[in-house]
Amino acid sequence: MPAFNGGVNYLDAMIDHSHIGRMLPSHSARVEKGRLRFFATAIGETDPVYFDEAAAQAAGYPALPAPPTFAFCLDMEQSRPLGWLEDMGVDLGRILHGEQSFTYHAMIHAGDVLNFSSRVADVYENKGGALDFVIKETRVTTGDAALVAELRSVIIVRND
Amino acid sequence: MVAQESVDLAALRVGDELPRLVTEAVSCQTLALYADASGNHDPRYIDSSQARKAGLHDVITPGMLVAAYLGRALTAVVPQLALRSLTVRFAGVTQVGDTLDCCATVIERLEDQGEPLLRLKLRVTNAWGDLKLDGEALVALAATAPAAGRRRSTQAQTKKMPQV
Repeated sequence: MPAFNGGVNYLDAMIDHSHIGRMLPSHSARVEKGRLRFFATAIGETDPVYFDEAAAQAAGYPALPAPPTFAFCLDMEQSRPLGWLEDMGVDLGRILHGEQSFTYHAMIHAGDVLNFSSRVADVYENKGGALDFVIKETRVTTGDAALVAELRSVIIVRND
Repeated sequence: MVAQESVDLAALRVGDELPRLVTEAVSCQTLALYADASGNHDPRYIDSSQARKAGLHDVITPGMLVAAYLGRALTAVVPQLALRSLTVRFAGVTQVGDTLDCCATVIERLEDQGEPLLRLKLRVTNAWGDLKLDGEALVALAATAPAAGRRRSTQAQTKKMPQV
């Protein structure tokens, strides 16, 4: 190979673009009240709305609300949460979480059963292939198919 | 117990800063609790010897915990019902002992499908001023759920990843 990038050949490490658009297996998870309280404790939350059902109801919520980033954890609640990356040939020891987005359409509460449906939205390289970027997009819906949130993860794979 | 700080969102102007949240120092106990609560037991977050094997000085803080602190900083000021989107970019590794300063600044007043919103620029730094995370949030001036059928695309508000 010509030494356009310092003599390093990243071509073998590049992720096949044919993965773009691939749907990943969907899964569902129930939002447990105790888990929400534990999560709120773990992130140092002190607002009673996240612990006390009476406070949540007084604030207008039907049940304990899930904090803004909680849906990400529930999406990881699978037997092989990163198995889809391994299936694409990615070494999980080389990945970094680059970016995470949430778009909110409705609040998530204790008792909700959520369905997570994801796809590989994009794959691209930069720095001559030293880094691969994999974009995963997830739609979170309730049992009656109402969209409650959209998640977008940017995963960086170091090939150097 | 912390009462919601009374901030009149409608009165905020571009350049105004929301009340900051400064966290306690991240400890190994913080990391163990978050590993259990998040379900992510990546050894780099909880096991010093494994972290060193991975080439790190010590255990590191999951970026999503820092993102969760930022979420707290927002919901302490803005009812969560008014949060329309949250985007974070992980910029630096947070170490045990770091205190995190979570800051949100109004950068735009806008309307989306008739709904008045504020665009906030988000930054999390440690006590030395090192950037750990930056990002953006959209919050509605009215503390109501998004109107049904609203479809703000996540992609539309996130910029292409800058060069790492």
